[in-house]
Amino acid sequence: MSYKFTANTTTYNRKPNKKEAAKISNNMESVYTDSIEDFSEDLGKGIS
Amino acid sequence: MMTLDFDAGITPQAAVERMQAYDITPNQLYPTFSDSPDKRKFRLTFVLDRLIYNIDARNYLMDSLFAMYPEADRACKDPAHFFYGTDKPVQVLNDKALSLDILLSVLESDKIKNGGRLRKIAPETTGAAFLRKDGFSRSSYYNIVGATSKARNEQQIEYYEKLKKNKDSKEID
Repeated sequence: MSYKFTANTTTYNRKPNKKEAAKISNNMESVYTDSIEDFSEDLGKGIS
Repeated sequence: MMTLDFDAGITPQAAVERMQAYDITPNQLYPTFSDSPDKRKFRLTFVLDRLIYNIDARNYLMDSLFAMYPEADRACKDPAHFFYGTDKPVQVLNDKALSLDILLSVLESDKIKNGGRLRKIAPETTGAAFLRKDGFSRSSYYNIVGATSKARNEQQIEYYEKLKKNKDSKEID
């Protein structure tokens, strides 16, 4: 099963600041993952 | 995909167990950047087995989740809300997408389990009507049991029987 969602693919190892948050919200794109595990890996890299 | 954000009022374990009382395991649990041992901050993710394009249906489902989890941060219910990732390990609790039919039937149920609270939801809202019209949900237990032809596998049928048994029971377990 493929999962489609919207994400910003920039990785962060800390909470983004306001400037970074604005940049994230302006650069969202449709992405796909093949599994929930793959999606979890992305989240663990700080992807929004 | 539906995500709930928790900043206070419930532990990660209690949040997971609340839904597991209904035989549904959320897909992901992850601590936020701000999580600390003293103040747990985390998110719970529910990956659904189909996309919801109707905004009323989406909002109805989200409201139902908030009724189940009154501790969740209501500032994060907007469909345009985006969530940060994390710098901490993400737990995959369930690697299979959740049946929207089953999740909705649980959220609309009147059985209170494992710390859940009375749910003041309105099943006749536009969103709920859409979900049923589109064949997504048979909201009452009896309708679900009667709709076993829609069941995708034996596990689902078994679940429906369990729901009916609970419905007939006066006990709240």
